[in-house]
Amino acid sequence: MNCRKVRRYLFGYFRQELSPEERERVKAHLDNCAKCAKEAKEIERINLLLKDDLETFVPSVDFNKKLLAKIQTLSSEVTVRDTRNWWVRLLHEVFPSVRLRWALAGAVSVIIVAWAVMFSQRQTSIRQEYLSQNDTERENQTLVSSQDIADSLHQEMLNRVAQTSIIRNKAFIIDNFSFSASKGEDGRIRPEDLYKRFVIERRSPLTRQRGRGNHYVLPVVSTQQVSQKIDY
Amino acid sequence: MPTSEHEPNGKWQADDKELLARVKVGDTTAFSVLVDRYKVRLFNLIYRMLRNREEAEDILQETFLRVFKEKESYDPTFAFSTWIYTIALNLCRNELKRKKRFKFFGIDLVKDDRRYAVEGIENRNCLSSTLEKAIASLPVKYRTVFLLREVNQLSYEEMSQSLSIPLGTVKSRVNRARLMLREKLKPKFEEQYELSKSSPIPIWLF
Repeated sequence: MNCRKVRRYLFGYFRQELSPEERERVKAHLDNCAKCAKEAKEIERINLLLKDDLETFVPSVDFNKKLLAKIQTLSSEVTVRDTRNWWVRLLHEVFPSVRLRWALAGAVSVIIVAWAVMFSQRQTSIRQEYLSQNDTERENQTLVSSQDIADSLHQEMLNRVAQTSIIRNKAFIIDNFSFSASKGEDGRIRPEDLYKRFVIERRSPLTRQRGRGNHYVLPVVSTQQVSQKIDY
Repeated sequence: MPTSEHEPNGKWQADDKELLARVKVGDTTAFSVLVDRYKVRLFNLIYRMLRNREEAEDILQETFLRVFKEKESYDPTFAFSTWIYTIALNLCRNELKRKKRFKFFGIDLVKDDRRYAVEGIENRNCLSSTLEKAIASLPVKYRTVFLLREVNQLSYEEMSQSLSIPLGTVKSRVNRARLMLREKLKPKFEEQYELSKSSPIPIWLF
């Protein structure tokens, strides 16, 4: 055995990893080679250091406690998970921490509140814009148009009434105006009733909403006026 | 939760597989006996792989959690120790990989080898701290086998099974690691040798 080979065997020699004959051969070499014997001494020291001198690190004292607590939450989680809705489970998967879920809930409610505030502001601004129009201006507008409108309505009305003999709670919408009729005493609506009762409503030009609260009655066109113009 | 010290002697002497069988039935004290049996060896291994106490404890906890979760899938043809070492080593490897990846993206989780080795090795006596530094500076592949063999005292067969690499490879890797360590320790030893020549008692005894 040469020195090179012996040096590769030295660690094994001290760790009792060699076969008896290998051991013998290494021993024989060490007896004859001072350099390898010195090397062997140092390797023996390293072995001793590794065996006796290395610090033993210990995990913290509450390691077992923490671990067992974790295992308990783990097994309880498994049972809970089965009873939850799929979307709750998904939420918990995507947002595992409670804090994150609270943050999400907060963000959603903030968005809802912000939307509500913005919507109501838009509504009031629309209303204010409409109301802020000069009163006379508004009146002029309606005054100018009311006569023509009444005329055209009259014509349209005649056409419609000619087509239908009985009208029940019908509302007609022509351009921005709607007029409605209600039943007469006998449950029928005759053309005379229609004209006596119709109310011209104007839908709000800005919100374009139909229904309560958004109707404006034109003050000029009274039912009297209109009925006078219609000659039956 | 009663601690395992209050348990009758039988539980202490029970072998790992028996204990695991009891864990499967839901015996948590059997589990804590297993934990007590393995936590120190595993912690020493993991700590020397990662060189960070908190991380090492996290990995150790994760190891036992895996054991608990996967207890049904344990293959009794292998030793329990082999299995638990495999789990711990895989977790270590993943952790080191993760750190490396962070490093790739410019976040330096792993300190460079020299500073890395020094952390937590100070205030120990001179030689053993040198030894720790030398071990810490071995490449991961060699450090793993070296620690398993020299610190945890696993047999080559156990190591081969835990790491799932051939026996011959394990042996040659261990030997290579030993020689690398020897090279790293050489200057220190020579320095001490010089000192001891002038001193009446061999200095390395201190």
